[in-house]
Amino acid sequence: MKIITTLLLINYALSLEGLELAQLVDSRQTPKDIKSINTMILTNKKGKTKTLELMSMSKDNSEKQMIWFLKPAKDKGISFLKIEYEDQDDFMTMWLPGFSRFKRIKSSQKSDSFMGSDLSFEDLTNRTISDYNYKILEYNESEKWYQLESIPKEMESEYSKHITKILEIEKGIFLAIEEHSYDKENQLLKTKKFDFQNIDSYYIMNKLEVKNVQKNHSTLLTVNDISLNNNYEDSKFIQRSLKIIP
Amino acid sequence: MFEKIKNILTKLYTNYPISTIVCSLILTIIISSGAPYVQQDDDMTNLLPEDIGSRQIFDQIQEDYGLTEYMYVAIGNKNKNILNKNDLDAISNISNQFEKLKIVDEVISITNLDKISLDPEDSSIVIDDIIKFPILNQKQINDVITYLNDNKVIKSRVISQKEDYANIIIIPESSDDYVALSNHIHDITETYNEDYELHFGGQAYVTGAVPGMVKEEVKVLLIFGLLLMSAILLINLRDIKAVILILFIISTSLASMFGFMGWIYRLTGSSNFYFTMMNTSMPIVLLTIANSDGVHVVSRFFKELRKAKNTKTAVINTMDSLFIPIFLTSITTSAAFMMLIFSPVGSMIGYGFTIAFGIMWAWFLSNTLLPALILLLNWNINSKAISKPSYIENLMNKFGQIVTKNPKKVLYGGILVTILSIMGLFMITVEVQYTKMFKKGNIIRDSAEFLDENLMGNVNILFRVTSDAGPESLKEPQNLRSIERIHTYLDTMENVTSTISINDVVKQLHKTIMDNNHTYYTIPDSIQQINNLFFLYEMNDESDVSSLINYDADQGIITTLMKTFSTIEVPGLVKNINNFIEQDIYKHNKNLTVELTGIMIFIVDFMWLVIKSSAMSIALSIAVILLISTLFFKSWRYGIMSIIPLVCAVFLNFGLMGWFGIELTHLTALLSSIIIGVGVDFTIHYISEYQKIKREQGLDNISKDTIDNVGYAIILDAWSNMAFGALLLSTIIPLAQIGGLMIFAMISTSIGALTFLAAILEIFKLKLK
Repeated sequence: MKIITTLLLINYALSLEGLELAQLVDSRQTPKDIKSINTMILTNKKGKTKTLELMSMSKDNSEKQMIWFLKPAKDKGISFLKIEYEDQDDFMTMWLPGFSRFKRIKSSQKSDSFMGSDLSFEDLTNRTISDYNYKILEYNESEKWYQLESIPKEMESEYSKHITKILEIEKGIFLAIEEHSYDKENQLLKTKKFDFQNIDSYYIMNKLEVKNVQKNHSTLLTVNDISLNNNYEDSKFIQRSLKIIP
Repeated sequence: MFEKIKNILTKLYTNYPISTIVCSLILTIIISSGAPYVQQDDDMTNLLPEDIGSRQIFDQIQEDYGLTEYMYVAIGNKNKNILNKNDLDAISNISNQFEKLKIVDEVISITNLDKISLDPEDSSIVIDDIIKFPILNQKQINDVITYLNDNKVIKSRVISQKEDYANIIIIPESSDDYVALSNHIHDITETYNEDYELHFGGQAYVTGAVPGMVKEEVKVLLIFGLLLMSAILLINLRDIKAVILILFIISTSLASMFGFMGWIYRLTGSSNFYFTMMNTSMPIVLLTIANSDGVHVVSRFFKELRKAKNTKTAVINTMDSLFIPIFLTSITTSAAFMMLIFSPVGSMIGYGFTIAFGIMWAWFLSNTLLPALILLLNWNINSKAISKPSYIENLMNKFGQIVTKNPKKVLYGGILVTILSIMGLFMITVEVQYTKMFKKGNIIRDSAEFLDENLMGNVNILFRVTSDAGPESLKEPQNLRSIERIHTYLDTMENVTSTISINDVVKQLHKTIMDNNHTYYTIPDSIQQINNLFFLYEMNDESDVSSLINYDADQGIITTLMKTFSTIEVPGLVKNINNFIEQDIYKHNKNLTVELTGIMIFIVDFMWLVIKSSAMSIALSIAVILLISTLFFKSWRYGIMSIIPLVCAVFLNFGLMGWFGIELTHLTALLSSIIIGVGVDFTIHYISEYQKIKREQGLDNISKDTIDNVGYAIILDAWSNMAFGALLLSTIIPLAQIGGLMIFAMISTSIGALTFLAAILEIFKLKLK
């Protein structure tokens, strides 16, 4: 009887297509906007660390995002704006206060490191569901997690595939809690671990640990002072806003 | 005690010759079976002691910034422009193959160079490959040419002035990989040999390629030397059996020595017992010494057989005469080599121990296996070899008469030669220039000269610049400007081809962000601007400044690429640079500390260390020989007599180097061990025979008879060892010099014993007890 039940459950789980699972993860309720103060600790292969502090404002599930560097003092004032588009290349720019100049980041530079961390600009960008092929590799019924493989279709990417561990944290709410990303040679490049905090019924990521296994470099991002639904206007997400730290 | 040992051994080989042979061979086989455990270590830098100050800085730099010693591959054809699709494809293919090697950290070439540029469409800074492959049109190549012409410093690192050769810079993953990598780069480039001229260079390449080259040459020349030695022995001894016996003793001693080295390494795991490049001279040293034992026994046996007409009696008489001198020569030579334990070079300690064992084993075999074999063989008493003295024996007879009749003239002649040699000591130059270590036509010398003439040269000097104002302080404009002043000063030096530091990146980015305006190829005025540039650069996936500045940004390195220069120039160069730093940097900038290092710098320190320790080991060896001889001859006067020819031979050798302009290096300095090792044999054999005759016959005709009895063996020994003058044919100049000096050492020590020593003993014979 137990065996039959298990088989039935596996059958149910596997009946969920990869694409459906990806859509379920993507359809999670998110706040209109988020403001937070983030701490980023970069650790190099010799164990030396650098700590950065930055303020982030984002809207529409981070489709629009601005980041200002607060610490260290030497980098204070450097800021970043990203606006994602569905039908055209994303717009990304940086403000360099030392030169009073903006520097555009081309979409072809998406594999570049975000502020010297192990996150690339591609990692910061929301994945478009239709850009990937999906496959569920494993389902753990007792712990309610899935392993989802995502392979980029024809889009330009620094990765050949991602294998993501997705947890059904409560009925119908799916969160990516761990991810292994592979480079173009199909070698493991990065591992990511995500932690979430429930604030006002929203699951908000409050910790991200990324390790570049090839460079033996890691980044720990901690999200603090989170405030949600601040009613930011779209007009706030423009280049000019980068010049002054709010 | 010696009498007891002698009697036991005599009983063994006379009563039980077969058992003696079997037992000594079994022991030899057991010891030799350790040979497979001999661990080879081809990394020359491992030879250098770690406590040399300049090496400590160098090691820290390698640890903090990665390897600073590169390999260079120059590819192209004279006067044929390389900037075309076919040649760029070939360079790209080679570069990619190098990059795929796991032992390669990075490859820098025209085809994978990073290009920092400004995108005219949106003014963004792009760090990208300089060329995208496959090359589709001429415009791509023209863009590359424009970029390189705009950035001459970068261009000079990857392309020759006439644009006919490309330079591929290979940064190895670890210094342990130099040997494997130098082999790989030859394998990879082999297929391009027909279409292109290829040159290989750089300190890492030389370090990787030389040990194999030396070993290969030593192997061939050693075999050639052995054949020559056999021929010389055959011509003089005129008996093939006798020659085979000597060669058998030599080869079993050699096998035992390597076996011992292997066992000791196996049991202790000590890196002192690695077989390094320095150890390549070990077989030659042991062969000469083992040959000495064999030659003395066999030639004496022939002499005794001529008199006694009975093999057993002749063998007993031979060993009775030679037991003490051979033991004494072996023990003194071993002791002299053991003095290498004071060497600062770990492998030389193992060298000393191993050779000392090899010498004592050669003694053991010469006192057991050799007489037992002689006893078992049939000797034709009527053969010319035994019944008639050889030409050298006859010559020695006449020579003895000359010395006996004119001892003072001989002595004064010897003193004069020694004084002349001492004058030569003042002309000795201490120098290492690695291109000069190879004869013209050798791949390393030709390539090095090519790279010096057309590309970035072969060697480098490193500067570690530290700011004591805490993290991020090196990026302060005044500190970067101080680095810039060092750049400018270095660029005025004759041998400097290029200087690399973090300033290159900062200036390039500054120019790029200011719309590619060349007037901004400078250090920005504010720290904020500099920080912004670093921020921008570090964002790029391809960016890596870890080889130029440390993580805390309070320390960086300046690498000065230079044409090959001699170590003789190093002290002046270091002095000038230090003066400049003192006057122009420290006076204006109290925060900075500038330290100088690089292989060239610590090779000088190392060379002097080896030379000083060689001088110390010469002094210690002579003191030990004096002590042992005094104890054995029971007279301090004989002790002094035994070292006089040695001291003269050492003066003669180094004086001759001064007269003939042979540079004193860490390699030629080691020759003193061979001179003392072999030279002491001749003097001890002479003095032992002298004392024996004095005991048995008194002082009448003593010098003539001594020369008559041992002169032949001494000359034959020296003459046959001169076969290793075959090393003169080596394309590696220090090896050839060792070959030449070996010939000279044999002449000086053997003639010294038979003239100088003989004359002194003749003059003072009445005063000596």
